[in-house]
Amino acid sequence: MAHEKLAERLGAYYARLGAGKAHKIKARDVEKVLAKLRARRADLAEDTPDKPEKAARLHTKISTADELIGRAEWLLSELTRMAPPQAAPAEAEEMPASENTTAPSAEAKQD
Amino acid sequence: MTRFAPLLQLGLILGLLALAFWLSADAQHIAAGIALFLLGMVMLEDGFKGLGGSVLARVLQRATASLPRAMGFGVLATTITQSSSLVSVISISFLSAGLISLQAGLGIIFGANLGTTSGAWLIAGVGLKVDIAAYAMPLLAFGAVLMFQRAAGLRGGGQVLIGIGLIFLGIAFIKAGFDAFSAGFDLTRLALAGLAGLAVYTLLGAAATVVMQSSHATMLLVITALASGQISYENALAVAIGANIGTTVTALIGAASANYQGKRLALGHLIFNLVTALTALALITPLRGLVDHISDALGIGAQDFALRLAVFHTLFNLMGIALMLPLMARLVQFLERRIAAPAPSISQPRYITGDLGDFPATILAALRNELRHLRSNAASLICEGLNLRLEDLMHSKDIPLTVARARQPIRLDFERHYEDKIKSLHAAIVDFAAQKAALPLPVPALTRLQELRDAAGALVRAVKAVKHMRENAQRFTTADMGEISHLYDSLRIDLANVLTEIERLDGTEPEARSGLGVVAERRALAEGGRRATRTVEAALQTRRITASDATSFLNDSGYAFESMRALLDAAQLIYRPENEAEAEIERLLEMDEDEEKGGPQSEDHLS
Repeated sequence: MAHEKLAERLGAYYARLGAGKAHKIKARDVEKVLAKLRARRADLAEDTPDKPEKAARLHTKISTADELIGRAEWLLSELTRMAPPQAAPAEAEEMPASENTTAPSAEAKQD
Repeated sequence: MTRFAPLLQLGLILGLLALAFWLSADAQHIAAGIALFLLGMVMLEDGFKGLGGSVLARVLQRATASLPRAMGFGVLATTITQSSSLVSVISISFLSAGLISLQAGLGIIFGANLGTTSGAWLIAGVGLKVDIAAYAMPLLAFGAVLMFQRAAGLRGGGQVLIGIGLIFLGIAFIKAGFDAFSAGFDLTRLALAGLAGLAVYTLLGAAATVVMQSSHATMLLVITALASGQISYENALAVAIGANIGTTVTALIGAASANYQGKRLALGHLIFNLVTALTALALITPLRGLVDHISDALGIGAQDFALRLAVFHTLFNLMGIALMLPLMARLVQFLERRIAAPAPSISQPRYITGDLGDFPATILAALRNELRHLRSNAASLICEGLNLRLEDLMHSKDIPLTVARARQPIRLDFERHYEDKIKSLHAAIVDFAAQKAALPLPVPALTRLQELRDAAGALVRAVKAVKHMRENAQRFTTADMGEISHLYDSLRIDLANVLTEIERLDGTEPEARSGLGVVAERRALAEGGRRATRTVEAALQTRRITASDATSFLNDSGYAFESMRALLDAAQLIYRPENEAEAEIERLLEMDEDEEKGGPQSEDHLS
């Protein structure tokens, strides 16, 4: 599994969220973090190293930035997948409460 | 003697109460009403703290961009919470934590003074005209159910409902007490006309507010007494002015434990209220005429003195704002001159001083700023320990060249500087974090508190690691000794790169900042360490350095990379986003040691 440890951490996060010990994350929050990561990656890509050592260092940084972007994208897709389906108001009213919340403890909120 | 003053004051109050109860059973009704009202105010304030203290704090941070916005926040927050004390306390703690300017703090206080007049309108307009006790009962019952729930938000909501219920019940008790009292007594016989009445009743209003610690309670008492015909309208106006003076005592008491900024705000509040009160007293006759005009225009009955008093209360507070706003810049200058800021000391905490209250936003902001202070001290000391100057590195376009040129020894007592600039500050941070961790803070705030304390520990480790390598660094970098000097320079370059990268992060706008950038730096660092080992092996094989120098370098290389790792660890924790959700995402996305090691390998490493 590509993001095994991240998935484990996400599970632990949901447990903390359920216990009211974590702040609820929304897809738009992940999008903000993703935007920052992409901006940082773009900054790194603009750099033009003049020595092989610097180039190697930059290569590592860009690869890591790509990896972090990949992790954030995976997290975003997980959150979107687990979010309650966007139903029309009439349908939503008919839907049983248990079916309306697929994300574990998605309703829990800590201020 | 001063030791016994509070006891004497308490004895006097209790004695007066007992005498009043003995003289009139109705006085018990009135006193019980005041007690319920004050209890309600306390519940309301606590409830709003639990329900939305952090929301209020977040809004306050955004609402202080301009003076009108700061004043608008003061009006709105006080009207909603009906507690100018809560708004004042939050403003003082935000100012103390360096989150808002003194001018913004004064704007909030001016606005809160106007917002507090909404209480007089509610009491005179609604409280005395409907059977308010009937609404109190369901509020108390619903509030009690909510108050025993686990979720902090529901508990806070319950306290707010109970607070409103108790306030309603208190108003009903006082009203009933005065109605019954009027049958047997006529307090208007004690009315004083003219200047004497103005002076005596202003002092009475101020004293009542100091004793009850609430201008709302004084206003409630005087409006109810006015509605029952137990006080003359003229004397009631003086009591309202006195209440404005008395309320500053609460602010002064609150500021006693605040830092210099909190004290400036409290003095500004006192000046504002005194100027407003003195002007209102001087212009009482024209003001009264203006109140009559406005009241007539608003359709308030000629005999509805309670509502006319509310008009007067709003009008003279508005007048105070109109008077003081043009003088705001001068007031700020005066306060800054009168209460001078302590001389900045790099070895003393700057932000975690004074009473910051128990608002997570202020506690964390102050601690984060103090960490940045410690980080700055650590960066300077690390540089000097390696014969470098941080400002030279920050202005450098070619760090390797700047490092190669830095051969002048920097003489300093590293141990003493460590004790002064790092250890004392670290001790203050650890103590502050421990004190605040004992407060009933939300779990995410406690997590952040722990992270910032860990960041302080990492910074100390970074400095200590450099302390171990300082002697050799001095030996090999103050003169060009060939290959070994170049090797030590390579360590200095790596450290300089890390330090300047962190400085760049520090200078980035908080909204654009991400602690995750540090992950890439740390991974690049691990490769740098492997490269250093290969380089020294090659130099040893070709006899360009001695075995003794090689072992010194390998040891010091370990210290240098330990220092860099610790600096990056600290930076990642210090510069986490202030937004809690984004901070949580960063915790999820960051890589542990195994993940960092298992990442992409550079071409250099594979070759």
